[in-house]
Amino acid sequence: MTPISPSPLLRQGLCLLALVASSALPTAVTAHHSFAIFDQTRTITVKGVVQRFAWTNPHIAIYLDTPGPPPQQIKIETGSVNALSRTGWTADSIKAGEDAEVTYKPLKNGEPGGLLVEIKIGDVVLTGGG
Amino acid sequence: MKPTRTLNPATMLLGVALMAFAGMNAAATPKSQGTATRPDISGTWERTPDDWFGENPDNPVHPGGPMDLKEPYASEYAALKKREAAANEAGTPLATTSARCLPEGMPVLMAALFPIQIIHDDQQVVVLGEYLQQVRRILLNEAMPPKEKLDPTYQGHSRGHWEDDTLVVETLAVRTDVAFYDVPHGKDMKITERIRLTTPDHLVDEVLIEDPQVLNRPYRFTFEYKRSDYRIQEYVCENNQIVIDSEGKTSLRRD
Repeated sequence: MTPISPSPLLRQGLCLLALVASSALPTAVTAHHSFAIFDQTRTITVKGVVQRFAWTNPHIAIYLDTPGPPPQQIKIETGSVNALSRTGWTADSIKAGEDAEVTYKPLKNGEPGGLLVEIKIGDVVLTGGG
Repeated sequence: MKPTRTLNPATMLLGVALMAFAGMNAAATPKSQGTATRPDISGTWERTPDDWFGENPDNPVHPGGPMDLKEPYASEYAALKKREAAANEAGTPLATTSARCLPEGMPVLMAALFPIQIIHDDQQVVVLGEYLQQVRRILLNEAMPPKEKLDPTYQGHSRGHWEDDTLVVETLAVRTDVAFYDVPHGKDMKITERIRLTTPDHLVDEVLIEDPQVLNRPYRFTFEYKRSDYRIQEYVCENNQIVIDSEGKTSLRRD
């Protein structure tokens, strides 16, 4: 599936907004649960295909199928709908079937998943946040 | 022809007398005084300064400094902090009420982790917290019912009145499973707030917590807010991904 990219202007706006959003991360993630479940000392980047985008509270989640080896699905959590809406995210920002590169802080328990740092889809970069 | 009705002089005199009495009565009530002097605190408010939550969001700072707790609460709080640190290190932080999608309750609602909206008229002040769609109702110019008549709730039972430019609010009967950043409280805890504008766009809430069961002395702090043009949005906690084990430790669901 071909990714649908926003206009260059919107793209630039999203990136700028995402940078602003990153400062709100600690507060709002803690709003619902502690982010001590994530290993903040490690950062992993993987490429894959978005299988599902859950635009939900208390957290937005991205399910990404990665080729591996071994092939596996990783579950990436980020902030709330409310907080990320304020930074330019929408329910259509990410779509199932899109190729994506995801950078995240992994779960401490070793399961495939973590806390979103940023997701790149085409030229669009969305930063995780509260 | 439509009948006409005329008032005889006696009826008119009675009417004037009733109107005059009604006016005097209204002028004597706090409600009327409040209406005349009541500042407009309605709108959306966000906490200020921006770093109010402290350096470690997993261990929010109590806004009035460390709380002076009686025993056994002081020891229990210290032990909880140790358990929390160990659980955090292991990546299985202890569950809070928020991790269960339950309301923060008072006074944490007023900490405004997400923005709050205030709506008010002559009868009540309503505080809407965006986070978890919390609602707090402060009834104005009504006596607080006897505390034995108050069933515990997350936001407690609040009664308020205006003293010049200040909204004074008392809150009782906050559920005892509501914690103030891990500090418990007794069933007789009383929260007194003095809420006022310092400028049209800056609001302060001076809070006093009296809790002889848990606190050695009353605890005071001030929440400050800046006016915001943000419009509060829906927040339904419909997709809680947190799994809580029998020890209260949390992990993220796989599916």
